[in-house]
Amino acid sequence: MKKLTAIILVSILFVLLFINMFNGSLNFDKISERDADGNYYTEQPTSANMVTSVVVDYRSFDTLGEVTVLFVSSLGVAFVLGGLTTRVKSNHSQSFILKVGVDVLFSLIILVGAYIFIHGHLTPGGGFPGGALIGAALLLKYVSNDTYRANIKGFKALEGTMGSIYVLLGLLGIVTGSFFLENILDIGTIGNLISGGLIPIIYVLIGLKVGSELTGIFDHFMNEEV
Amino acid sequence: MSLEQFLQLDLGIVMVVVAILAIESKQVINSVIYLSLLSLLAVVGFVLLQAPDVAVTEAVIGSGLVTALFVFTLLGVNKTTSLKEDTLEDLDIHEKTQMLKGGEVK
Repeated sequence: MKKLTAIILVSILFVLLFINMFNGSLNFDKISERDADGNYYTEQPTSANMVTSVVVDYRSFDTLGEVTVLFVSSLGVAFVLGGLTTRVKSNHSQSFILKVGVDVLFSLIILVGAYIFIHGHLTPGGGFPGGALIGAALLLKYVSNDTYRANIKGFKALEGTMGSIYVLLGLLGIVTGSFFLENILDIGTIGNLISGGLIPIIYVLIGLKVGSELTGIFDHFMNEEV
Repeated sequence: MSLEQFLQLDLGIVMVVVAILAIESKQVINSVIYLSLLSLLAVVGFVLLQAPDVAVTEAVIGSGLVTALFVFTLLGVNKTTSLKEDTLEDLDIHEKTQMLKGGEVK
């Protein structure tokens, strides 16, 4: 069943790619540098934060590559340390103040992380720092509490779903007749929270993916041999 | 020389000193802490150079997550090596080499 689904998905992708090649619009020189009419994007900024416009709009394919690099590194950690199941116990007794302080700070740090990646197209920051902050919040939980385990299966499902949606959003660009990861939605008023077309959506996806990936890496580092 | 240029120059000199300390310190844990300090100074540098995006990323990853990963790995390595040294004392030379190669000891 899985194989069948994979074959169907791959053949659909190839059909779409070949249709675009015969239409002559799939030109790798021009991907994410010019729009369908051949104009450079820089003439019309797509978000209030110029860096975000470059990273998630004009060079969105590079960002997909970066996300893939992080995914491969987390895969490597899981490959090496995946067999270990016992949680590491520290030798000294747990500090009560640290534990309570982390419980108070945890939700605040998660909130700041979510703020950073939701407002990625308006303020400095974006998916990677926001996701790393969420990972740091869970790391604090692991440090403060010897018995704490995050719901790693849930995080892995979240990570996979977010990555797949990112690629599917990219393919949506090809389906609508333009380039891979083309910003197909309406850009709206620059400076509003809901503006920039696909940019906020992609940043939320990247933030959740990076956060769950880093949590998975830390969970593997916190295990040891029996 | 304006104040900002002066700050940047100072920061650069301190960063070089901290980097040399990170390489030259005898204990690995000190190296890790100096590396974290270096990242923290780099954050100030990025803010002075008006790159807040990079500064945020460097603050979270450079001085937070990477330091934590190094420290945990170091703790794990210390645990394993102290365990191995305890068992090594009771073995003869042939068994020691066998064990260091990664094989099982009979």
